[in-house]
Amino acid sequence: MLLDDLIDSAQSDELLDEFAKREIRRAILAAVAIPGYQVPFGSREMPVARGWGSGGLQITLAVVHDDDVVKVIDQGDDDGVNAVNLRRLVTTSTGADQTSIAAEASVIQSRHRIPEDGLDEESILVLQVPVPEPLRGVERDMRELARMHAEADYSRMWVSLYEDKVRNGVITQTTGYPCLVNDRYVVATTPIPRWDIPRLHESPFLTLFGAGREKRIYAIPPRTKVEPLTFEDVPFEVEHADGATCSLCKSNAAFLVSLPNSDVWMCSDTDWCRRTREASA
Amino acid sequence: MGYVSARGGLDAIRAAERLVRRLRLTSESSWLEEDQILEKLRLLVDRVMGEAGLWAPRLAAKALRQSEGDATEAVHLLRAYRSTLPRFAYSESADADDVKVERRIVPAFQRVPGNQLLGRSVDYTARFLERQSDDMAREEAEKLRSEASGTPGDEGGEAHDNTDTTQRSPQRLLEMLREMDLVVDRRRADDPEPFDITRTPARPPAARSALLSSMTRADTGALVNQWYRNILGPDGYLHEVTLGEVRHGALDVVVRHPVTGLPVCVTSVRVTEVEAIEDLEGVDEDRTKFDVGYGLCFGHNERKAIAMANLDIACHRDAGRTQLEQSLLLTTDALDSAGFLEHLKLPHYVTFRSMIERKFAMRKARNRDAS
Amino acid sequence: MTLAALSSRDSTMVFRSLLQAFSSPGERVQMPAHLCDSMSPLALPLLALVDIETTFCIPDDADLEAEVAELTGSKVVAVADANFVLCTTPPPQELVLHVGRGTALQPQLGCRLIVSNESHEDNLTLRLSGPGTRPESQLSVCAAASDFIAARNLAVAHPPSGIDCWLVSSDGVVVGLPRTTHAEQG
Repeated sequence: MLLDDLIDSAQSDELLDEFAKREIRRAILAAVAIPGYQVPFGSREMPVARGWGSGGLQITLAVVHDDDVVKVIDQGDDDGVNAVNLRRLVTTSTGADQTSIAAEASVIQSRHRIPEDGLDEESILVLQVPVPEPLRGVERDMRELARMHAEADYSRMWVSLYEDKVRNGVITQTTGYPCLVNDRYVVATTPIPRWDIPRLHESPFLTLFGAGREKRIYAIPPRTKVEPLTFEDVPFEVEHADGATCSLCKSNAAFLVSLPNSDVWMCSDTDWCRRTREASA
Repeated sequence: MGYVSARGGLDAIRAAERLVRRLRLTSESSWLEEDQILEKLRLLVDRVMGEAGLWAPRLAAKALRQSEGDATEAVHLLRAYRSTLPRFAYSESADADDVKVERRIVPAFQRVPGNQLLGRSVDYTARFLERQSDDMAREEAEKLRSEASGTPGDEGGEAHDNTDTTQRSPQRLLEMLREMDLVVDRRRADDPEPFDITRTPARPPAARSALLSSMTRADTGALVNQWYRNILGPDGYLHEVTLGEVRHGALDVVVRHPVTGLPVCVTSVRVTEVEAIEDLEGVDEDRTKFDVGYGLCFGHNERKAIAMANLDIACHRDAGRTQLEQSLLLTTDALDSAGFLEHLKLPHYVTFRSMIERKFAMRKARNRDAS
Repeated sequence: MTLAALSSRDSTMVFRSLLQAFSSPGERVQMPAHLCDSMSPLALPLLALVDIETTFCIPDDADLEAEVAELTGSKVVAVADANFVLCTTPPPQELVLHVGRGTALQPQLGCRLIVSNESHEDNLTLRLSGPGTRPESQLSVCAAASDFIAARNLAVAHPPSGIDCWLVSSDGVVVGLPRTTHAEQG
């Protein structure tokens, strides 16, 4: 009977119990105190599958209260199905308001993009991370990976970048470009495109990275040095296509995605694109 | 615009939810009762509880019904529900010797202390698909029911005859082997708290309790595969063991009463327990003895417990030389692997755009070098 | 003043203050006023963050320690083993050097140290630099806390292990001093 009562009393909109929230908060605080270090946490199972933003969702639920305004995007798009689904879970369980305008949001959960504008000192950016380990390409053994981070031994990462450059003429790393945070830890940058990387450096906002499946939380505090790993004579390159402009807002100042095998481009940040069109109309 | 991506927003999501729900609830056949799932699909219920790491037969039945029989989906429903519940207390340590066995076999010897108890098993049943009509099956069920009413309380049939208390808690073969000084003694004097994999991610090098809890919650198929790829696949870290103990039975769960502080039995869980005897033949091992691997999981799931026991001893003997431990800790969880696999269905156009851009950049660099 | 368990919302609000304090070391962050009026602000970080899965200790106030343990279910342990340590007066050097710092492999195990910090006329001003700080970031501590700061600087001298501090005043203003912040007089 007692157990049945407990089960009934637990039926609410909450997706996490208070113990879980406290644990996630403790991990977030450790992550902010040790920028770039992947803090292990007891990732809970969420109503969304692992790999679908369960880490970002846990961070957002631990951070958000009912005075917050949240924005959720998937690949830059507020109307992506998974973004809509996550936003629905966050707003119904926390009572927070929602917006698509980055400048109005206090907490922004994102899969693979930083909004083009609007983030300031009041913003918290929560990035969903599929693979938090930046060194996995050069080492698979977790004991060795832990040692490399502990000793800041990133020599094999540098060798691999060098070999890449020699073999291919350019550094071929696409999204999730590895960056050195606060001169100490190499981090995986979710996969956000290289376009977004410079905006992590000395940013006004706090960025929290949540990897639910791999049970890791890490952070880049505001006003923190973030350098993409590259060589002095090989400048870091963001994505670029000659002459590409958005077919909707005509801008070339945003990260653009294209239609297959065509020269039709569009902003991946759909709300930025909408506002740009409205401003010029 | 001809631009197609997974958009459509809340309406599309709600429509998909409604479609799934409507088709599930309005299908022609009669309502699937929880009791039917619990009784007729008991092994599936057991498997789901084991992989969820949650003993809750009725909730597991509900989850299976909601998931339309998708075991991994049912595990997801149970674990996500569990995330909403606070943890009030820790149970007292349970002694596996207190398991009241419903089935117990010892393949290592013909005659053992406490006897073999075949119990409810299809191991020796010829696997003929029963094609009799439903009417005939019902008729047979009636007949069996009336026969069984003559022997009350004996749900197991002839295989259970003559079981007394000692047979319900038989002495372990392991104890006998210890008396014969045939087993490496790895029992430790201290009593460390078990590693809690639901709170701290288990990463190599991990405590044995972390490995065992990871395997006990693992996907059954994943564990069987880990075992088999070591037998026939490229890895080959392990050998065939001799099973010293295969048990299925009930075990009481005891917590301390929050007010009185006295131990109280709050429920009874069924577990499958396996001890696997390994022949030691490594140069740095005591070749005059055996060692033992251990497996235990919720419910009746012998496949899983046997794989677990075998992998436990294999991992101990491997001692970090290979990445067996990492494989077991990191790659066997049903929700981790299935969730990540299915995330490939999410849109990836930002990342894919970035990849195409690098392809063109590489081509450009190559042409530059060539000219 | 007696303490009370925090509601879910109050817990979140206190956490956000603490998060802001760590994100922006030196910034004076006001914890929720309605809580600071009704109970000791020093205890708020513990009430928001500890539970049966953590350990803590309050070496200089046994009554407060017992009250926090009762409310949160968190376990009281020795200073060196505690995840959280609260000092109602600026702690002596030995204590600060004694709390856990974690290891290079597990730096997150370093202690969170909560220290009372009242403003006085003889306050020392420290210049802060490191992640989250601004060029003008400063920390003002009472003279009695200068030993604490010196010891803290020793405890964070070998990153990534170290300790992370919150300085809390009786009006509920919290200032963060995570391990990556350099604090020097000047």
